Amino acid sequence: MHFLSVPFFCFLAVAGFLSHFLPYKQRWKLLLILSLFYIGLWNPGALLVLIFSSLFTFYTGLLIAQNRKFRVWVYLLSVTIQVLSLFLLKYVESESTGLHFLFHEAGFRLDLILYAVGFSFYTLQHIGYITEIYYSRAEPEKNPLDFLLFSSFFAKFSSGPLEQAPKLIAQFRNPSADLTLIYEGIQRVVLGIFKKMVLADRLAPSVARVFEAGQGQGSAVTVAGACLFTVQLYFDFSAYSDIAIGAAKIFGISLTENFDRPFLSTSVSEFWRRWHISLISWFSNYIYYPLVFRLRRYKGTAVLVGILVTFLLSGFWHGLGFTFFIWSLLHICFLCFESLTKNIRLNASRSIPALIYKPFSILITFLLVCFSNLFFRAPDITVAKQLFRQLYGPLFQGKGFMEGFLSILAGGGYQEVLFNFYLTLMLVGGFLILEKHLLKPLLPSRGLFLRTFFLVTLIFVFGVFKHAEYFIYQQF
Amino acid sequence: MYKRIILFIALLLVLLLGLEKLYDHFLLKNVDLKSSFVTSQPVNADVLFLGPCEPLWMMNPALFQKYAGLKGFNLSTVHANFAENEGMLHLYLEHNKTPQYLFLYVTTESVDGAFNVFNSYSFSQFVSDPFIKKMIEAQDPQYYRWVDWPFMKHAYYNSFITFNMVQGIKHGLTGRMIPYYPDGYVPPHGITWDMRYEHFVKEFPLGRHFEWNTSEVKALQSLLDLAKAHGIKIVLYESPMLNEIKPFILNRDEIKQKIAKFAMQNKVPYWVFDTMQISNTRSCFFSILNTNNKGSAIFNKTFADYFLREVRRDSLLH
Repeated sequence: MHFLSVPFFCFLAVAGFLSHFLPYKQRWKLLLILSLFYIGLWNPGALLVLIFSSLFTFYTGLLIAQNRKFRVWVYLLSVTIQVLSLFLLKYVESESTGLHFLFHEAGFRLDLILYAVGFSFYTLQHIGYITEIYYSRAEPEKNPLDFLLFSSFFAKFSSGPLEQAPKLIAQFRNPSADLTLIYEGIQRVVLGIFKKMVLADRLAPSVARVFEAGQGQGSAVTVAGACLFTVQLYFDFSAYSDIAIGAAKIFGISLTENFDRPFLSTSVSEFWRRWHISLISWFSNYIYYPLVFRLRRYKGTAVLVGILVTFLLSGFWHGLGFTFFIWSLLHICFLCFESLTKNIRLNASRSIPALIYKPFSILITFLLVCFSNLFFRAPDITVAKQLFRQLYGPLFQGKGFMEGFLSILAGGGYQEVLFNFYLTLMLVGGFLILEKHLLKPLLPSRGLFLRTFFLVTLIFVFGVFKHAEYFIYQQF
Repeated sequence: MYKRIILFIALLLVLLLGLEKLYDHFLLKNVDLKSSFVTSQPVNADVLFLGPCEPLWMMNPALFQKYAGLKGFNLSTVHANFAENEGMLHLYLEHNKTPQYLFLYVTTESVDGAFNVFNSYSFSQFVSDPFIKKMIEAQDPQYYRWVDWPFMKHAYYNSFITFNMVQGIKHGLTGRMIPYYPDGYVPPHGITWDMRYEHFVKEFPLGRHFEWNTSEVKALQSLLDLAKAHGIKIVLYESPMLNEIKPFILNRDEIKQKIAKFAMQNKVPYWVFDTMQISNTRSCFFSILNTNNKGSAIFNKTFADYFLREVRRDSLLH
């Protein structure tokens, strides 16, 4: 049951309706049943893996808290098992290893177990949970059902946002009684659908044409493809997060915000504070800061090592392909450069008028991120190398603007496809300009219905309905 | 809160129903949409040319009229399979005088199923027609599931439809009655060589086997049955193709024989023009199967002459 399917919206409406007949303190039971039902319907194998992993983590947490003597060993063993299972999942999934073909040919239905939906997301949360207990920053949960709900909560299960157990379980036990949360939730869900169907999915064909077209494209179209993909990825993933956050709000639960208008970042480090916030917080809390703290006597070098390890692991988390490795190396370079030139850039920002410095920084940051995403999106290293070479080639590959640029992005030179392409750019541009206002939740008395009505109308008139259910980040 | 939600849903329903009517109205006003044009005003041609892109860009009714003296209309649409052809013919016959002849392009590619499709969005304004609806159910079940929901028949493929609706508004406001291509023929302007040959040879260096696709053949049969039911004389034909490509179509003779047998079973003629001189030179083609303006002029003359000869021999009076 995907987020963008009629069954999901029916499920959400029925669940929301039912929950309002239950006392607030009893709602968690309904949420647990619904979440397990939701995952089981999606993939029964994934449900079994989730239950096993959750119970393993729950009892490991108890053991770490109770057993003073062996706690370090239990902790290390538990983390090792979780990391190894994550590695195994990525390794089997990776096409380059060819393992999934081998298993398939041998008659094993690995997809039921190893392709467990949401595994990479809840495994990180489980590691975070036991780490908090190990360092005595949190108490272990007492009720395994609470913990199971934390792992399985349907709104965040398949692609986050990543949450911390104590914070979320407290909300399950005591959901907000504020009715305005329901309005906010509906608005976020509608906003998410709009972002996905009207913006991300309309950009997808143009991006696919650039990344899958093969050789012989000009540098202009390659740059445009990388930029459009970055924007598509943002709308696609933030749409997912909006629907997750909105769906949770309907039940009085507030999830962590995952994006904060990242294209306004003036540096790559700021970009990472605004993009996939929950994942980066996880990496910061459990990899970067502990590492920098341990190496603190090496001062600057500690930061560089922290960046190196964090982003290599982040690249690995996204996939085992060489393209993800290069993507993470690029971000390591960007962040190390920024760390080393911090003072120079600070001085420059003081001497250059903000009106010039800020837009220039935003543009440079955006282009750097787009450049790295060339490797993130490329299906394999051969295509990535070819796209990279194209960047240094002729602007339109010896063709005119129409044939060498516009018709590739638009899918032809006909009036109809050009109309669609320009319309997409207008919708995307318009949204980015108005995003700040659109993200502000409204109350019924303050134009809530008008705005929601307007967005829903746009979804029907300009949305992509065919194949709309696929979200890019669900592959991770 | 529930009152507000119900009010919101009610208003949304009204809006969607309104949008549906608006789209229906203006799509029918768009005279550049063949389906809308032939259903909104009488074309009343003596001869119809039908098929996917090839006849669309090759069969010139004006030349046919010049040489054969019969008024023609090119009813072909881009990348259309036989089912879409049938839908177009149905719409045409519902609103026009029955033509005397139907020239239907049938070749190894058109019975394969991999090259042409049923473009459901071409019929979004005609979904209320039971014939069209049944056809959509068979050809595009995913789309069919949505067509009865308010506005979804237009929303589902909106990126193919919205532009046509906007164009319909323009035509409605300006009172335009004549399409940009009045007789349905689209001359291949500006295309010199589309590299399809090179792509095909690169993809299939040892050649490709074409499929005798049963669902395509079934759709073809259904199309012939519709035409026969209206008493239209049918001719299946294959236009010239570039000789260079023939060695790469491995089972071309086998498929051609099957088409010939199919034609014989249906008692309709099957004309093949692949031995014409122009097939030897790229100067008359812009693609493997498509002649350019120069090639089309030669082919249309040959086609009309052949037609006249056959009429004189009475072979078309079946």
